Amino acid sequence: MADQFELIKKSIIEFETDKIEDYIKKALKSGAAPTEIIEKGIRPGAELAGEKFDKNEFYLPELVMAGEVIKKGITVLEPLLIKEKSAYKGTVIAATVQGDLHDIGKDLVSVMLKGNGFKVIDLGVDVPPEKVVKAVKENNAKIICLSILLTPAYDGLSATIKALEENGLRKKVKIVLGGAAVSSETVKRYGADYYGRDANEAVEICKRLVSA
Amino acid sequence: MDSRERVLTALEIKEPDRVPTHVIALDANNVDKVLGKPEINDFQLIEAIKQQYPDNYAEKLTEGLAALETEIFSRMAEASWKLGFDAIQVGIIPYTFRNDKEFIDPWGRIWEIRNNEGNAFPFYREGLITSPEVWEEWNKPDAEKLAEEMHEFTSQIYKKYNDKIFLIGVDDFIGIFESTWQSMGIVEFSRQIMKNPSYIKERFEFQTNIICELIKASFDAGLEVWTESGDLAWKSGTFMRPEDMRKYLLPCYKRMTKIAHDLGGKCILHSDGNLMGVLDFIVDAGFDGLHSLDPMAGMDLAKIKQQVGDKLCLLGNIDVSYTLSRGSQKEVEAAVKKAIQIAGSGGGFIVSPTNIHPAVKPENLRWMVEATKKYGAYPIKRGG
Repeated sequence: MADQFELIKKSIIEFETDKIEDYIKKALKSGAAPTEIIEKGIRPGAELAGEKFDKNEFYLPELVMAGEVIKKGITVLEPLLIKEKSAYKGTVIAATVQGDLHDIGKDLVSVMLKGNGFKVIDLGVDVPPEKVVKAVKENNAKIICLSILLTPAYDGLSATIKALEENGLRKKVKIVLGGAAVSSETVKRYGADYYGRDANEAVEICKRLVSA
Repeated sequence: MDSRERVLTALEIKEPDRVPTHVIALDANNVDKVLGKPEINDFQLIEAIKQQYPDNYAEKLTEGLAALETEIFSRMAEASWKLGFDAIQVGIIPYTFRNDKEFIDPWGRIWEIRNNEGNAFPFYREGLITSPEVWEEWNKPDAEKLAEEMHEFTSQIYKKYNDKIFLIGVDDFIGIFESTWQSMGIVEFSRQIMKNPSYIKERFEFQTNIICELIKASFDAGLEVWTESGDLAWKSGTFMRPEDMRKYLLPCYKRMTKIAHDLGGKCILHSDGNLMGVLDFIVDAGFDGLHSLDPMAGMDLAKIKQQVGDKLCLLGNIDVSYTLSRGSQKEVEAAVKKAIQIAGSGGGFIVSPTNIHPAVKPENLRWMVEATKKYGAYPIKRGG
């Protein structure tokens, strides 16, 4: 079994999009639970990809391709995970705020979070505040990751945080910001909670939040 | 010195009379604030054409697009001159209306037309060149036709504004790297650069051929400086591996800068993001200047000046995320003063916003220009 988990991990950092499905199916056949496959195969692969990115061994293309492998693996496991109660570490709402259409950073965070065992509700780009509120309520999410590449989209960020306050949800969630227009200063100014400099840092913050 | 002499002297890494000011563009809502709104806005125009030609309005809109872009950039030049800038960039973007909500460009990119206070604002959404096979069959952009359009566009603006403000040609949105990755999307680009780099090389070279023709056309129309535009990095470093940049982008950039130099001009690179690790690459590519130098992205002006300040003219460094969009006059002045103290000595520095977007305020831009005049007169001692 350990070998199968190792193959899954390897497929992520060697970008074997065509092999991960087969490895996962073999692991399932051998009796591994879907959560175990994530914990022992996909998560270590996602973490290793993040570490390699931090060490400049991976650049954007490698991170994107590792993400594609993770995405494929999660697609195979997702229908099975739904059946397992408490299969996920936590639920995260991911969105690029209203007024901004950039998706690369947000997509990377979503897929890396999935690879790390989170359930991710990806609302896409240019997301209106009410959609974020609705998703938090429906999924009882405790973490929201918001991406902002363009400064004019600060209005969208401001409106989203206000909508969460008005709906009595602000204190129930932690808001993690990321993207070119964001800094620690933005977090303070707009009343968010954390700033992730890149996808890897955002994932680490979410991991800390659920283990706290 | 006039604006032209001032900018060209700074690009020669010499001291002009004072530090020049430059802006990559102005958003149309800000142009309206400086000049007043035009009689009819872009969306009213689109609606009127739709009413008049319900069956082929997209075609009719496209027919009038070059004239509309010339008008937009003319107003931009006028507004930036009124704000006191020494230089602004101009360059036509060859869109085609797909319908009243989307453009498509010759590289297969789809752009959503967003409403910026009545002005059309294109927002990249996706690329249609999803494989080398699709590219093979694609009706590719014609360099000669694009150069003719650029020549016509530039000539008209140059005639009107050459005496007022120094105009710099630009391939905004269509630079080598950006037009290539966006035409296929980031996932396909990543796949191809890793598995089939010769295809990416071919696409970079294809785009270089076009840009070289655009430089020739712009310079023939009177311009002397060109900006290659396209973000190569994000906050944590370059998108591509530095060794891949050297392998695939360097020869293209070298060809581009050589064309500009052979024609007696200069060539600047604009890129957002953190380029601290590839400053030598930019020098080796033959660029005369580097624009953006965004402090928010970790671009350390003092280190850059020390490392490449004798080889590259440095442009930018004034933050748009806060200072130029919501900062006070005092904050703008402090940012400009600090940048000049760090990078002004010996010449080779041009004060400029790191980028531009609709939330940047015209009064902040004016304060930036005024502060440059106040603190930027030469001689400037190192460290102020």
